[in-house]
Amino acid sequence: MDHKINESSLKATLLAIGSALIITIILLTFSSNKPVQSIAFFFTGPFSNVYNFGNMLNKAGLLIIAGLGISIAFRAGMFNLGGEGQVYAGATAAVLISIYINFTNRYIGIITAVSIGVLSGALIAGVSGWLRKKWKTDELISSFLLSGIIIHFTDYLISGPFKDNSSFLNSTIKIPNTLFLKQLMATSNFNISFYIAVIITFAAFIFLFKTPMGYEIRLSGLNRNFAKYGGIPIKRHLIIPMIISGGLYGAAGSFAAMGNFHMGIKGFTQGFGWNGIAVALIAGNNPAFIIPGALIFAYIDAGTQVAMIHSDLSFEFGNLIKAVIFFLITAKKFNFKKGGIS
Amino acid sequence: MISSIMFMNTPILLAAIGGLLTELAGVLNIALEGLMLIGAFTAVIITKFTGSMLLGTIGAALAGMSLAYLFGFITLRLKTNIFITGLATNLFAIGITNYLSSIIFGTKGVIRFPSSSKILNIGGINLFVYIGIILTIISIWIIYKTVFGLRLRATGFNSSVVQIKGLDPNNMQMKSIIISGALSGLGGAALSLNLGAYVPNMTAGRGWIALVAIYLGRKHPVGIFITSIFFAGSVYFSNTAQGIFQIPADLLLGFPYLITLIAMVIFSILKSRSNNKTLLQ
Repeated sequence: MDHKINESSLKATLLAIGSALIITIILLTFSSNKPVQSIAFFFTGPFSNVYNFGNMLNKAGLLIIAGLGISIAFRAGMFNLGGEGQVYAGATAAVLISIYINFTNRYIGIITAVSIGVLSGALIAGVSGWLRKKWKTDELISSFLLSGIIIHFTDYLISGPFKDNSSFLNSTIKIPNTLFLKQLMATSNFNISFYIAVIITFAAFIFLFKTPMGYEIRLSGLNRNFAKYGGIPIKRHLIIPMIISGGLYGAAGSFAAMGNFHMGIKGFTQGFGWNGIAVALIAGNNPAFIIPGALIFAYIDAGTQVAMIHSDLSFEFGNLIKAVIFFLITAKKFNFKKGGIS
Repeated sequence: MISSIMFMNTPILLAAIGGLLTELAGVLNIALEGLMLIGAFTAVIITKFTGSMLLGTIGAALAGMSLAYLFGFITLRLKTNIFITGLATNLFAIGITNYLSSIIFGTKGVIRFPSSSKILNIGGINLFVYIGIILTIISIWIIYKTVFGLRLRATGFNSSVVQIKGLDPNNMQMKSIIISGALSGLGGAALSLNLGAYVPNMTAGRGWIALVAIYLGRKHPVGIFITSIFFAGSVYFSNTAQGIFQIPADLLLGFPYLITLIAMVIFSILKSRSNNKTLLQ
């Protein structure tokens, strides 16, 4: 079967984000003892100090990378639902390389670790693409199942053979200080990965819209039969987009590991795979809109976090807000009334 | 042993039969996982407050139906992408259960209720096993012997035919989605009521296994029954193996996904081979 993601209209995007904000306010009003204060924290929190602002930008950078990968896959008509596992594996692979290989040169060390992270993600997603090409195994389900296997296997690595026994956390030991991505904005996590994300965005835009392969990928996604009759090697474009999206998920994971966490913690990349999909959809799978899309998503995320820290709120409602965005982001019609076949 | 496998099979079977109905109506139901989870949660909450497992079970089915309605409404009326909306339903189920559990109980951990799972046993077999089998038989009757079933299959086969007949294909799909919500909710209830507790994310991929079981079972209730028994059996043996070989729990949790993936790949290999054969003849 072929899965298609139609580009969401601007109206749908605004509706989804607007509804998410309204539901946020409603939830804050009902579940906080000081609703006005919590709502104020939600909206102003991300800008209240350099620390929150830097973290928000850093998060946006990682989301840009993940979102770009997934939008290229969506453009090709390929569904990569294994982002959770690909980010987690990429991050953990980068951490393990950093710990167990003694790098003398800081830059070589960072580049090697990130490359290994990218390769891990690309490999995992590539398997699903390959299965699709070889035996028409549905990549939507296979990527999710593979991700389920990888997540539990990585959990095992972190809490088993590579566990730091002196720590209370289920985590590996820290990577060497020299391999940390340098903090560029006070004590926040903001680091070079944001700039790299912006560069990759331009590269992805050029790749998708200005190169022959980008054209082939887009055409394969629009109509695989038409592309085939046009002489496009469509089978290749079952694998390449998966590898690109998995690789970029791996990159996002590696940057998160080297820049934010500095070690592998059990489950530390949770939710990232889905968030990447959300950002791609907010941007209508267009690299040109990925940066604003990621900033909006990171803003909502940071806002809920700040509001939660400063009030009596449960930590959980951030996930609800994201689900609401997901629910409405691909809406094409706003026919709330019953009846009418369209 | 057989009764344990039969029991482990039941949640997957119920969700898969629900998913079969939507599949026949042309809806790939990714939301099964979330529908099961909300059922598992509601069953425990209602049983805890009322002390009645019957009410808990009914509540689970209703909760599954409500979430399924939301899923169907957004997909069919707002014309959203069905896969993304299915994902949203799963994320929403995780979000809302954790949120409610932290509001009501101040924890997002395990919620227990005074367990009396022995009540559920009839002749040494869990009541839900009977429910699963009976509903599977009923589903065969509905799909192949009723007008509703015929219309359902026609909707998935060619929705314009249904339209010409003066029926609304969206309406058929909506009905199938709501029924799948009820069945998945029951599946979730079977899971949590038997354990006597709700554990966050306790469905652990069963909705996805159910989805794969639909294809492997060749979209027929009997095939699905056999496939889900196979999945339940392999999980049962892996659990047993854990005791013997001391396999770490984390690896064990990944095992159902592995088995499902392998089964799915083998299925697609066989299918592509038989397709090649028909091409050659």
